[in-house]
Amino acid sequence: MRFFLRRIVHATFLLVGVSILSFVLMELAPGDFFAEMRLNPQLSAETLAGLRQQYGLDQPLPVRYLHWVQSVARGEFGFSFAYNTPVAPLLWSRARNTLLLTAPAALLAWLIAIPVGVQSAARQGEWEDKIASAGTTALLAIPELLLALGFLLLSLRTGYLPAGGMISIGFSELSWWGKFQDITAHLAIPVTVLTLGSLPILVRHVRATMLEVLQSPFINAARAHGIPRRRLLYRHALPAALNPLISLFGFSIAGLLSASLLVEIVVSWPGLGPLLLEAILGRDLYVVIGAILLSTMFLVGGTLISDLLLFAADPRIRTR
Amino acid sequence: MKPSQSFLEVRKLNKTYVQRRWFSGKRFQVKALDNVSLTIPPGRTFALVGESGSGKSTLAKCLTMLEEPDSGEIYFEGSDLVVMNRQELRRMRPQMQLIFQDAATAFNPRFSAAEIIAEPLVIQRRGSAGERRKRVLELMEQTGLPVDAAGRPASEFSGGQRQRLAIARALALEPKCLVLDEALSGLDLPIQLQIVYLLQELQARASLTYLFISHDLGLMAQIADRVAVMHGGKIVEERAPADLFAKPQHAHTQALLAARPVLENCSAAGDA
Repeated sequence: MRFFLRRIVHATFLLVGVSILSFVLMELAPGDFFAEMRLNPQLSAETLAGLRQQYGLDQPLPVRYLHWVQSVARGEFGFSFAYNTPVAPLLWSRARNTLLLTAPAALLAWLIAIPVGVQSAARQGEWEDKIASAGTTALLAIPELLLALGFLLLSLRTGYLPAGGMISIGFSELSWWGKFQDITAHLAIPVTVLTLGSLPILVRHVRATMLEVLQSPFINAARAHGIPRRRLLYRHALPAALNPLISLFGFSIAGLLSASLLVEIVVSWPGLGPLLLEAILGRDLYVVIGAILLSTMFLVGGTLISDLLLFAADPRIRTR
Repeated sequence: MKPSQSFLEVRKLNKTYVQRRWFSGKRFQVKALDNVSLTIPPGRTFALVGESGSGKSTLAKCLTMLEEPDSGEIYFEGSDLVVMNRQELRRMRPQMQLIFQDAATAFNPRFSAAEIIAEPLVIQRRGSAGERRKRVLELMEQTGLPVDAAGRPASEFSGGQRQRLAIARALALEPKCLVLDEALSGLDLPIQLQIVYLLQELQARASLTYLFISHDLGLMAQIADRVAVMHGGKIVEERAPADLFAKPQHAHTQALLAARPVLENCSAAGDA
């Protein structure tokens, strides 16, 4: 238990550090949200100065940081200039959409990677293994962006799947089941792209760790007892290979998020990706910081989940 | 050839490993077993001695069918293991069990001692859960393991205890033959002796056949009924240990004997 308390304290420090760093970096970047308005002849310099004052941009950096911390404490995470609302509700709905995309993708990628990796390790050098490794090499070489564009093109040509967006027009009139189907159809392309994108690395890791374990004497001992293949692979070898894979799981959650930002923009999925892109281009300061903080939280959450899983999966860690 | 009537007989066993160079793609072959034939009588202790790379472990793996030999026959109580299909092999496997040199890696790190010993029984679907639990405790007692440690993982056992655990696991299926691949090598002398005593006691009780694989000619001479010397994938000499020491025939055996470290003052006592 103390282990987890310590992890949570670490995570808090990390979040504070990241927030300060993103404040400083945004300060170093030239211009602010109102900089481009200077070019607009209808707005006088006085008006702009007034706007800056109103949003507190004329204050020195430490003061602004403290204001922001106060607003975090109120659960607002600052104020978006572009949307004219507090950042938090904006972020939450977007984050929910991103999770809706990344969670099934992560699940699917692992569900495929584990059996494929295990089988290709068990059949090292045979044709099954060669096919799997050719497939992963190909997927590694193709950028996700290209995959996404390819699938979009396909869906446009065939008209079978909706190309982009998250819901169809008239979504609100659909029944509960209809809504589910509609979102699932929209999810198909981005989830496929994300799954295929993260799959090769996972498959290779599963294969490599399994190969290592399969050479241990205890595997030979089990074979000498006349163990069936399935039990050997999934009861003896895979659990022993699990620890590095669980750590990878934590990282894969964080990695999936950054991959999803790009894919979201391409298929115009209303997640964090497009929001962050617009906010960076428009210098919507607090939205950017909020989004960065959120993705840090995903990373921290991912590693925390993997720690919990390690704890649950490994008797050696549990007894400590 | 007619099937053998002896307990364990190997005829003309061959095994070659092919390795390929990384860049040149050149292949070269390592002949690990070169026409190996031997006969092991039941209820006795047979020792296979040789230096590293002489093919001892390959022979052990082939005998237990963990590796498939390229050619040759392995008769176990009259039936050829090499031509058996998977199901037949699965039924034969309990008869012959292996014990490894490195007991630390010989156990699934996630299993407790009790699970380790029970696993062969689970695999071969023997007994109910309750019966298995009883058998596990019985085996732990037989091999001199503290019964109250049944719930602990193998990593918490000492080196000697781990080897006892390995023996307990191997005995779970009531095998007729134990193949001990360098099973005594990692242990210090008093523990080695303890394990040897334990093995001899078990042999007397259940008329087990032992195939020891070792590089320690001196130790094998003391515990084996017959010793075979391996060199370069071949068995170069096979005799009773007393003869082997008195008048080694093959040049390699002489070299092995000469390479034995001997303490000048007590060498006579040690050989007795």
